[in-house]
Amino acid sequence: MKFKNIYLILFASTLVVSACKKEKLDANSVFVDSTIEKNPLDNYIYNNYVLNYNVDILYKYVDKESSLNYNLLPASYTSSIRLTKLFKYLGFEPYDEVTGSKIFIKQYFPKLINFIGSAAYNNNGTRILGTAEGAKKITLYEVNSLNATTGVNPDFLTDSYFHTIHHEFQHILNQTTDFPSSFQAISGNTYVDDIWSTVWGTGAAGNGAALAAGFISPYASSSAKEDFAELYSFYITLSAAQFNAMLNVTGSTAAGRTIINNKLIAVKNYMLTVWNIDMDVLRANIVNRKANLATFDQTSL
Amino acid sequence: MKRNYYLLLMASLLFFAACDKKKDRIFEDSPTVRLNAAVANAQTVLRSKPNGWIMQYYPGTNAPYGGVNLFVNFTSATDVNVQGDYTASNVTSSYKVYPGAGPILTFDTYNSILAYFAAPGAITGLVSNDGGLGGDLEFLVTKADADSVILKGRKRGTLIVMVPMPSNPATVIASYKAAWQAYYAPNSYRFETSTGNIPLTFGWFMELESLTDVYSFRVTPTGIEFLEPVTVNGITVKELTRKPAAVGYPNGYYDNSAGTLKLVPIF
Repeated sequence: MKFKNIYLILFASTLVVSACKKEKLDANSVFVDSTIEKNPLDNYIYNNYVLNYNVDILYKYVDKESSLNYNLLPASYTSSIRLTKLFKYLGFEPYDEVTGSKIFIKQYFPKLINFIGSAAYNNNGTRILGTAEGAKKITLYEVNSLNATTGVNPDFLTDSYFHTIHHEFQHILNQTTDFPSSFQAISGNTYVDDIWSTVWGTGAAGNGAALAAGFISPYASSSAKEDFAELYSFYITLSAAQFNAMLNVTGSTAAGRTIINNKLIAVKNYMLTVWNIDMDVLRANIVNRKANLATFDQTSL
Repeated sequence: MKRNYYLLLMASLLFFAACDKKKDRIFEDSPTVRLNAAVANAQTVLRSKPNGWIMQYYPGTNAPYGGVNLFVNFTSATDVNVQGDYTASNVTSSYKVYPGAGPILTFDTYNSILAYFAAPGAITGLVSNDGGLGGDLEFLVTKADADSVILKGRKRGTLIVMVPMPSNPATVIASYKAAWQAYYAPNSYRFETSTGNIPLTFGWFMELESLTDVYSFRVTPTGIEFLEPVTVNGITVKELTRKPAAVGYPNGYYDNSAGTLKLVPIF
């Protein structure tokens, strides 16, 4: 018995010794990154985004950061310059000014912004304009639509990029600190989930029907969290006049508006108590910036 | 007891054998070293031609839409200038070579000449909303030396060959463009052989289609060159040569060297 145990231990110890032998890992990747000289946009992104906000922008197409299910075109260099500058002007700086520092964006904004030149088209002709993955990445499509004309059109910028940006950012804030469940109770069981795109009808009539049911947009009716983000984003990116016009489109009802206004109170309250951001101050800041687009230099780096 | 002892010995021997990891390498260097070298080589070869390359570009899986000649010049470590026989445009954008399954060449900012083939059909109005012509923008570099570079589209797998541009690029490009214009001007074509004619129409892009077959080729200054040899009424050809106007052929024609197969433009 004793004899057997001794051998067993001896045998086991040799195993342990050989198993523990480790090669020391090199800190450097085995793949050599080719040293590519930085162009002015690369430098601008590094100095303004990476250093200030710890956020990086991929304006050159990187296959593994993009959806392989779609045929996508890369963003153009000139449109990328415009969106890079506008993103800071309309996306980041309003929060900086309202919160008093860059820390808010640095702490919570997704770390990667991915520019794609075209929209992601599905076979039925519908297209995707923006996606957010977890709290890590925002992908913006149709960047190549941005030019000297569209770049100074505030409604185009809001519809094409900034509504999506603020919408997705709100999701990330919600993932950090959830909004109170009392919000969900307002529209309760009237959320329609995946059939949001068809249940209200199409076009302007669809918007009116959704509003009559107490939803700011058809998409807001898909779930409470989308409702919350849609309300937030429409409210801060549109002027008071534009937002009121939206509430009063053909087909809307006073009952629907009451529901929306009740939900809006909850959204404003959440932003103020949790994040110390007054949405009316933030909206005034963004609306003012949109009004000054014509004098904003979006081409020089 | 005794049996256990032998068992133990045997087991330990097994373990030692299993731990022996040494294998004869087929290649001297590790895969990483070789991949890094291949990337560096591809980058060097692409930039080694001051006049650039003639890229025989075929969009789509199995190249069903015909091919074009793109004149691609890698002018710096990041910039690439692209012209094409089918277009008057001259566009500079960026490129990169990076390691993947091998060296991968990617055209990573928007270039309208390449985008025409890569864009979804919702933009170009060709083939299908999501698909379009199906041109690749990213390629696996399967071979790169001074004579030619062979690329394989990463999404569609179509092979694309690049050969060096001769020393007089402006003249060469002009001749390719003129050849393209001449080819594309007619409304349709027909094959003529001694056993009968076959009517042909243009497909989605510049390929010619009969009722049963699709003919995919490039237009060159001397005529047209099929991607793969084709057989028409029993006559197999890879190339047709352009011939000037003649009796019965006021707009000229393309034919094979034996003169048994003619491709005749119809205006």
